[in-house]
Amino acid sequence: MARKKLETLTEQMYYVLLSLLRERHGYVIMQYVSELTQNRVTIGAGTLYALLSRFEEEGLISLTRTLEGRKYYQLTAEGEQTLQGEYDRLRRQVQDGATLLDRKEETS
Amino acid sequence: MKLGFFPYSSLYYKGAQEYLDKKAAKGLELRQVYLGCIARFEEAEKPRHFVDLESAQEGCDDPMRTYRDYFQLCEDAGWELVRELRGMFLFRSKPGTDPLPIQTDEEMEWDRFWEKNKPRLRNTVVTLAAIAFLAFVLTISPPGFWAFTSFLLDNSSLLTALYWVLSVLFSFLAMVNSKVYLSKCKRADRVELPGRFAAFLDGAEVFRTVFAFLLIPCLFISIFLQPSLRLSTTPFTSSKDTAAVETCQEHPVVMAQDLDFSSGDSRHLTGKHSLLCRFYDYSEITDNGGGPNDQICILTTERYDCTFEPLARLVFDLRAWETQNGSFLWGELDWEETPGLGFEESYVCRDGDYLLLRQGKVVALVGCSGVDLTTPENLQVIRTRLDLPPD
Repeated sequence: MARKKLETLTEQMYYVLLSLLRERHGYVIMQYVSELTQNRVTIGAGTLYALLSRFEEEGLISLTRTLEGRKYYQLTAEGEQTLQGEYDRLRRQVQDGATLLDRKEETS
Repeated sequence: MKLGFFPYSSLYYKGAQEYLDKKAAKGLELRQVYLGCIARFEEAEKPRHFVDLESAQEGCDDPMRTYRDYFQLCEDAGWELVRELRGMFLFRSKPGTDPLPIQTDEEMEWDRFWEKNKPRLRNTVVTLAAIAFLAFVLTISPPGFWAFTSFLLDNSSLLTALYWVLSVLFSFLAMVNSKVYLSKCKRADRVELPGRFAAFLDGAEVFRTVFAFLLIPCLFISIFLQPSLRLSTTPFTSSKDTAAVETCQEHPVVMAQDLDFSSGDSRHLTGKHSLLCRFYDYSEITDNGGGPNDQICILTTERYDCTFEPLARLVFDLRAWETQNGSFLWGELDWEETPGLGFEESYVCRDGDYLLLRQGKVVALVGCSGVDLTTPENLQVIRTRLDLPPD
């Protein structure tokens, strides 16, 4: 069940990367994702901690500064590329779905 | 303030979460865990708890620094660390907050759990193999090395043996249980809620540690207060050091004069008793009465007064086995079961020179080389002198 490589992102991963288009620290990321998704996606502190560690290890984000014990992160170029790739994949999924589902609606 | 038993370890952390959730539903908030297993709760308004697994910090130069970041995130999110305990972080919500759970990705949580506990499966196999090996060594070792019966005569040995038996038993049950639980989780591909028995075994693990600490003063006490009947500790030297005839007569042992042999001047009598057994060891150098087989011989009596009959049966079998395999000062004794001597159990060897008997809770080994102890007259003497209970 363990994910070996970030070929596809989970919804939580996607939103964490999305929120790091701008420099943010952990708690702000949690709040931002909740606001952006209107509480549809929530990220717990432990989950976020694990995600940030993993993204940093894989070079998708980088530590920009530490202020009052809080670490600030931002996407790296590689991270932006991964995010863009995921966005394209999701968009294609939506388009494929729309094509088939819209056609189904027209025929009915 | 309310106290509760908190035996959980990281393997059963979902059980700990369930336990704390139930307390929170009653308005009780975890304040501290004492001695690793006693949780203190206080009443609070809408308390919440979260139990998180302590992650392995592989390749991290400064794990505490990494944890600091994690704690900072949890604190910002509204969680307050109560304490770290057996691979778990125990959190309570800050007053007036309603924070999100610390873990919100079940898949990631499972991965971490599996990585952390996977080695347990391997350790289980290794430990079970070690127990099997010890059992094998125990079986093939010469009885003289183990001397089981001597265990019964010493309170400290009994306590230590009890500790090890319970330890092995607990470890065995805990390992089997953890293997069953991990297999169940693996099949479900997620962290399952453990059963109550699992948590109890975790608690037993805590008790084992407490028991180990209690064992040390108990050992000291048992060594210094070991009841003893040391009447003569210097055997077979001279009349000056020998045990007095009158003293020996007061105790249930077979003496030379009881068998109408000339009394020797070297007698050795020791005795001690533990919680399970009272023991006498008597030896006397004598000649067997000046008949055709007149010779110097050593008359010996070992006597075990056990506290209950099943133990006496065990001692009888063990002593037969031990002496048959060399755990006897005067050589190996090849016993033959000889019923009909008037005892509940009896073995004889060397043409009646040695007699091992059990009557009720008493086990005795009587021996004198060159003397047939199985004649009716000698058996009557033995029965009377050992003061055996009626058949």
